[in-house]
Amino acid sequence: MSDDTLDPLGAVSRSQLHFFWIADCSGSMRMHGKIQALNNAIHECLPAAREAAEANPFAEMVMRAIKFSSGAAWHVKEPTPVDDFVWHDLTAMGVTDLAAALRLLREELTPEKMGRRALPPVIVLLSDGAPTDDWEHALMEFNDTGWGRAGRTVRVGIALGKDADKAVLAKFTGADETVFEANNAQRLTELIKWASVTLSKFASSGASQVGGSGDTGMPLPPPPPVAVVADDDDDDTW
Amino acid sequence: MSEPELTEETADQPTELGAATLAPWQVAGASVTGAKHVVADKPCQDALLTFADESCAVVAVADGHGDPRHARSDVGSKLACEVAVGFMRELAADINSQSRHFKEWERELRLRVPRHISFRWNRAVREHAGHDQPDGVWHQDVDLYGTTLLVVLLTRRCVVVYQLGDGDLVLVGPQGVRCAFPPSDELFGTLTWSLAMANAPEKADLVCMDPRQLRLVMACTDGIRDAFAKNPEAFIEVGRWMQQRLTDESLEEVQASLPEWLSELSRRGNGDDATLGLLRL
Repeated sequence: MSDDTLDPLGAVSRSQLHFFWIADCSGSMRMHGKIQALNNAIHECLPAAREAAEANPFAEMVMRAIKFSSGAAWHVKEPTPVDDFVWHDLTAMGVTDLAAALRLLREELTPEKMGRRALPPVIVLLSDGAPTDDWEHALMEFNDTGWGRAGRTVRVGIALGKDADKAVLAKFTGADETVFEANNAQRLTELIKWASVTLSKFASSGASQVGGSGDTGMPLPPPPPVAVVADDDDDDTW
Repeated sequence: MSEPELTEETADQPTELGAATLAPWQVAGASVTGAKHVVADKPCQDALLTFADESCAVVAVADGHGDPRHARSDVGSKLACEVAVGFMRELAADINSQSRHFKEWERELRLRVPRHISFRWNRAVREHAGHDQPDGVWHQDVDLYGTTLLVVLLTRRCVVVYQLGDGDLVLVGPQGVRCAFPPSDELFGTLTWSLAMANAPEKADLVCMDPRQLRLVMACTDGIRDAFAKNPEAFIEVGRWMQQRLTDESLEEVQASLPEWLSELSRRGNGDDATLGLLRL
């Protein structure tokens, strides 16, 4: 049999689910140990994310991370299978250049790099403050790219503490309902685990969505309920 | 290969999930429940219906959207195929009765086919939903039945290729292998157009071709292309490979192997339902 008659089944592979952490590392993240809580939460979520990925034989989850403060940089640049994903602790300093992070994300979420047929990428934006650069323009440009348009990604915002500008996060996600508040380390861990396990499972379902209506896609699965915090825990509240 | 006999049974009835070798054209195909749906004990939301007699051949495949919002999409996809095959058979009689160039037909059919298919699908779905003597006007209840639809009609003078939503109509001819329609700039990821959209006719693509330009048309639901997501060129190779198989093997042998091939593709790929309809000229 000649090469050109080989069964194409050999070229079949699982779909990739692209997962992006976008982490605020500005100086304010040092206060109340927020940056360490973020590092701890991602360390803690990885075993559950690996377990969830292993239980899903029909999608390969690959993670990446962007950090932003005074400028932005890839923390993990290559799409890395969650089994091999290693989180090196972030440190906090500088301002909150969200626009720089969005520009990095935009460069990756193109049809040239991602193709057109793929599972909707999951993007989790974590921030404790308000952007200090021209984030609105950068967001508009991002939302105008192939994968940035409404309904093509699964986006959530996690607001760390009461000073976080939730309106900015809602502009990024496209809806108030997809911004969640973490006012302490435990809640942050719960939300990060939910994002990496439940949301990734949701995004990898592969169910078709009817396009063109301008909506933001299917409603997200609900996050874990907020635990009641005792009054004497005020010192741990951000 | 000798010319198979045309039996009364195969001439009058659509042939579902089976090969009909009615010269000078042949239809075949298979539709399998995706590996993910097998695990979850969910029904196949794809559908396939083929028809062939001496006057025409039709292959229709449809992919129900499958999420809770479209909970009856398995029914919607079957109704879409039934409607499409019925309408295309009527159209074939019209085409065969006139000596018009296929480009002339294209101008007319770009309006006519999407509207008629949508109208009839809306009517069929609303009947299923319990509406009393419905017409084919869109109603919000049809959303539950959302599905794509891909159809190819072959007559002696003209090939009509219609697509609404994701999936691929792969054309294999003397000039090579290509998809009938380029991917829409508006559809990324798992987004698709749907027969359940009120403006579905505006979203449909249609092209008419000279039958001499074609050797094989494959109608594929998106489960097949998505299995080659890391290697999109390999998807086009499926067309070349299938044409070679149809040269080396009988249609019956190819037909018999399709369900297992599609099931294996789903197991190795994203677990989606997979449907492949073949029309060989």
